[in-house]
Amino acid sequence: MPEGRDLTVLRRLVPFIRVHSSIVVASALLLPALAASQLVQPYLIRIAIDGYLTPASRGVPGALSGLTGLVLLFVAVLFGEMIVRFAQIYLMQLAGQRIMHDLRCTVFRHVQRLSMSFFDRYPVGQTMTRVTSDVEALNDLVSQGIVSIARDLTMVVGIIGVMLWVDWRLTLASFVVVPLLLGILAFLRTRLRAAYDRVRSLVARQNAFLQETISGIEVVQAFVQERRNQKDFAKVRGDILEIELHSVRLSSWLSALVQAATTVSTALVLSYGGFGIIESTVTLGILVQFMMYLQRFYQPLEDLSDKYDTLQRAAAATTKIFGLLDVESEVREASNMVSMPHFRDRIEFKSVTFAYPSVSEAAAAAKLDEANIAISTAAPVLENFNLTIHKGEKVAIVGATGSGKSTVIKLLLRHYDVQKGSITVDGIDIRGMDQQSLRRAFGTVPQDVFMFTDTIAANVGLGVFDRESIKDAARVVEADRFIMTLPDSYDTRLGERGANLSFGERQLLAFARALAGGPAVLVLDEATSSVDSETEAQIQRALDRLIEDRTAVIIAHRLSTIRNVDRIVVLHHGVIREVGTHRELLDLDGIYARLHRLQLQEMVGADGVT
Amino acid sequence: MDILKRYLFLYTRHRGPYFLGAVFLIATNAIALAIPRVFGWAIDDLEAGATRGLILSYAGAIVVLAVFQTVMRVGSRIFVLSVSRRIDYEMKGMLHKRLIHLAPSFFAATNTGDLMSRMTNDVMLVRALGGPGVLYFFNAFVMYALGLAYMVSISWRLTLVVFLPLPIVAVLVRILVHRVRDYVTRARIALSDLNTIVQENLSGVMVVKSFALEEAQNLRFENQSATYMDFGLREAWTRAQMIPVVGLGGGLAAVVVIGFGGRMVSAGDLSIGDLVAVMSYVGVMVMPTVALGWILSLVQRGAAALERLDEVLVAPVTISSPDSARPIGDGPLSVVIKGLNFRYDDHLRNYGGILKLDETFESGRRHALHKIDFVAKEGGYVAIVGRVGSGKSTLLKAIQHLIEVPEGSVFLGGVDVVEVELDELRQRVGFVPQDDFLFSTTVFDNIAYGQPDASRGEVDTAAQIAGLLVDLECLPDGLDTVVGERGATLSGGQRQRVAVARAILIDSPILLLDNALSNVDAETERKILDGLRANAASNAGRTLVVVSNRIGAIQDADHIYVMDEGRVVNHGSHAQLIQRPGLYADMFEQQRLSAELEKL
Repeated sequence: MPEGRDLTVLRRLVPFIRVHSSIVVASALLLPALAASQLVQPYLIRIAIDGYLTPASRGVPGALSGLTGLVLLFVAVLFGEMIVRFAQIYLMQLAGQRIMHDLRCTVFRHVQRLSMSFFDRYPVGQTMTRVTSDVEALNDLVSQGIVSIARDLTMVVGIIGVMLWVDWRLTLASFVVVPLLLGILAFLRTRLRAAYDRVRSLVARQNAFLQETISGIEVVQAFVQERRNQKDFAKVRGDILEIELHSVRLSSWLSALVQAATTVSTALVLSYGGFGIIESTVTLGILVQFMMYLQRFYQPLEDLSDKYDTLQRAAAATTKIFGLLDVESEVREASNMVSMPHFRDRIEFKSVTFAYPSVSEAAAAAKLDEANIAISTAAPVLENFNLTIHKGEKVAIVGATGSGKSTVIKLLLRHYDVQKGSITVDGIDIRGMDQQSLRRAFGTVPQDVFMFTDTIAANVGLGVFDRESIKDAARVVEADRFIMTLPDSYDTRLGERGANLSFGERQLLAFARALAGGPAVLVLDEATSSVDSETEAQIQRALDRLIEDRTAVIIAHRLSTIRNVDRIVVLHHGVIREVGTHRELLDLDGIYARLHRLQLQEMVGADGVT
Repeated sequence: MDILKRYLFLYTRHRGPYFLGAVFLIATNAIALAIPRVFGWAIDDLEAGATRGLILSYAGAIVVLAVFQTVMRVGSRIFVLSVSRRIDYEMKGMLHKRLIHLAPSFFAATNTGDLMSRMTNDVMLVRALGGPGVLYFFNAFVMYALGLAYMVSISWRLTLVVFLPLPIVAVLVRILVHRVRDYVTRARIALSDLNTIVQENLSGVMVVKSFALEEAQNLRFENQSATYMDFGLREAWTRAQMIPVVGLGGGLAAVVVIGFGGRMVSAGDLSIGDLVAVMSYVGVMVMPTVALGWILSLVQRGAAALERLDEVLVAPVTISSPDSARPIGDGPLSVVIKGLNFRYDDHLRNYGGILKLDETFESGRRHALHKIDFVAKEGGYVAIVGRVGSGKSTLLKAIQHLIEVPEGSVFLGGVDVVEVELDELRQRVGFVPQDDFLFSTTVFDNIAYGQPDASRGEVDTAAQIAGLLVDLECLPDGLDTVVGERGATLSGGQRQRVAVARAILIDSPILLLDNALSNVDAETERKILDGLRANAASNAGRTLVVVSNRIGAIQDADHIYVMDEGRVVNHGSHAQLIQRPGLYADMFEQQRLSAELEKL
């Protein structure tokens, strides 16, 4: 995983950590206390031995009560250590969790600011991974990585310091093996790290292979390649096994050698310290004290290679997260933007030309290699498009699939910015307006009738409109009829994507949703799903009531729904080809007339078989 | 825990290395415990006034013991941990072997992410059980047994007193582990809700943007994220308590040793060396006590993982070769289907818990076949047309025996497909699936997929028939161009033609094309189909069954079947079908009008 190699990317996390610096600092301040209490314990034992337990001190009056006092002190220190330890660990988790929460929210907020072109390009699953799992991967770094390294360092430094202070000669004697051990550990660790890297890349390959086998299982079976596939998989697994066994050997030696060093150091303390005792320069207590320090000294050395692994994984996740945070919105806010004013007069499309960005441009702009192929054409979808919609007018836009009709409303709502020309509302360019105020002025029914896993009321009101507007809107489009038949009426919870409703019911709810905010203009992108004639009639009735006395722009797929609009605009390959009422356009016998015939065919066809 | 019994063989299979590992482990622990003993004697002798020589021999003994200990320890770890890696290897092999033979209906019933997670995360848990799990369990056991023996030999009274706090620690740890697990579960649920919010936000982005809901969504996300964080913190709070509890247990034991043991020393019942040795024993026995709690959770998680893996391993193989197969011969083959009824969801139910339930009903409706009668003569060219979801693809899969067809319904060259060896059957039937799936290797390897030993010339010919030659010239390395994941570096039309070439290469007497050229323009599609027929004629007659949405491309077929909602609603030649009012004539008319519109 080459992306994890560079640990400098971790620097970008600093601002997030700084916000919670007080917690981090508090936790760090506890480290010396922790080290101190651990260092004191062997010292107390030393006093116990030297002061009360050696034959010389045994007879001293008050020895027994002195020992009891010492034991009580030991217990107190122990309690102190536990409390400090507990506080230190919890504080670090607190910092870690809060940093994760902040980072998650930052990423999510950032994604909310991005324009539609981002969502066209990046698969949902990938973005989800960034927001949740990748952020999660950083938790280990904060809560275990950084602090435990600091803790181990404090401990090691503290032990060396105290030992030197007590008896520097004995200290040096007991650490004779340390340089050798460090040398061997460095050697083993380099090789172990190389082995882990190799395992990681092989495992990635193994998983890719598996994924491909599962996705292509029909091809594998249709071409009778089961055995070969099995052989190939066994090969990858075999490679992994081999390198895994190698790393098991390395890590076994690593941990055994650390232990061996502890034991050999003990022997060194015993012999050098033993001589000291014979010469009466060292006491028995000191000997025991040193032996106990040694055990605490070597343990941290063993886990260092794990720590490196944690850092690498964190770096890989950080790279991905900040890759997403670096993506900029393609629709930019103007520096001196205004709120959308109250709609008075007209909406104008003036010589609008627009093309969706091509894949390569998109990938370059996003600087991410995983760009999904969404829109492959750089050819203009709309060319020199002119249209004026007056207040109170109902305009329908029709055309064959790919004619660019849905693009018209995506531009009007500023999901994308036009490349040439302009769109104005009452003479003001929408690029100078606050996006949110612009969109709030429109009541939109998107083509994909999306429902959240929430109540009916929440789906219509979207958490912004009040109960009365919700009910009023539902009444207007006659959605209240079916809502009242539901077990909890407006408080009935919908399944995922509104699974427990029929398509027609979902469409009515989408109508109500568009209406609930009392919008100045209604914008409708009709769903393409084919519906039975009863549903069709129901939707038609609702639509008529929806647009009654309102300005409306309708992207129509079913020509039958728009017979009564004021004006029908026929788009063909991004260019307006015909404009007129239903009657006028039929008489013209052009594209509209053909489209009309085509749809009649479809309906006859459908009736012909059922 | 029944599941552990059933999969015990995974572990007992390696009893040899486990046994050796255990022997080494006992040796290394015995030495580990002997060292404090030696140290204790040395101290007693020091106190009594020892010579330098005696001290040096004690130190020497410790070093010798350290060398043995190191070797034994390395041995024990290598034996036991290597077994866990082998279990990983074997488990993945078992799973893969099962997966590869499961019918496509299994894959329709499950999702890839879920299977992948079982194959990776769950196998990891099974492996952890066999490696660190076994190792630490042995370790704890041996440490206890040996440590107790040593301590009792020093002073049974002191041992008894020292052990008083340890059971309390074990109980406390157990309680904490329970509570931690509870919070972990609740955090998981909160995380899954958080995921749902993100997923809905992204899927419903059009609604979010159009209604300017960004801020409301932010708040919703932040609330849920805070809930999730909250459970994470509670878990951390509980988990953090474990450290003081364990430390306290060890510490209390040490206190008891000093307090109680100290009095014994003062009373002359115990030497200082013995006291120091006991203190060391307590130190080394605390960790195994803690480890027991952890091992327990490893066993539980391992068992849960085995349950999930078991669902894959016992998934029924619904399509397999018969015990006594009938050959279908080398010559041209006819396809005859008689009264075939088929419903996907009948078969999905076989897979039990692994099923993603919400999908079954839908797919069951979509992929049903009702009373299908169908004939394609040897060397004939038959087309199937119909709307999306009318059952055309399912019908092709029936011919390949890729779906669970009942006995007596599908015949190739007069032989029932359920009586034919699967390998033979599929070698005799070439198939171009609707999903233009390619492997992430080179174009050459993809074309030669069904016949890995094909020559360059054979692959070239197949590529030529599939109309790929011009495209190959444009690719950086021609046939050796790597196509990327799922063939991402090729265009949709190129991928489809590679898939066609792949099927041409195996030179089968029957060739099925499932809407295989939809991303190629109509003109080219027709040309390729013509090429296939011409090539077939030279091969003593290849039976061609083509599914297409484009009537223009298949109107030369000998016979055309029209399908709707899983039934054959009409069949005949193009000339006959356009005369009859119905779906075919309507589709033909629609496509003519659309083409006309395109030209305007």
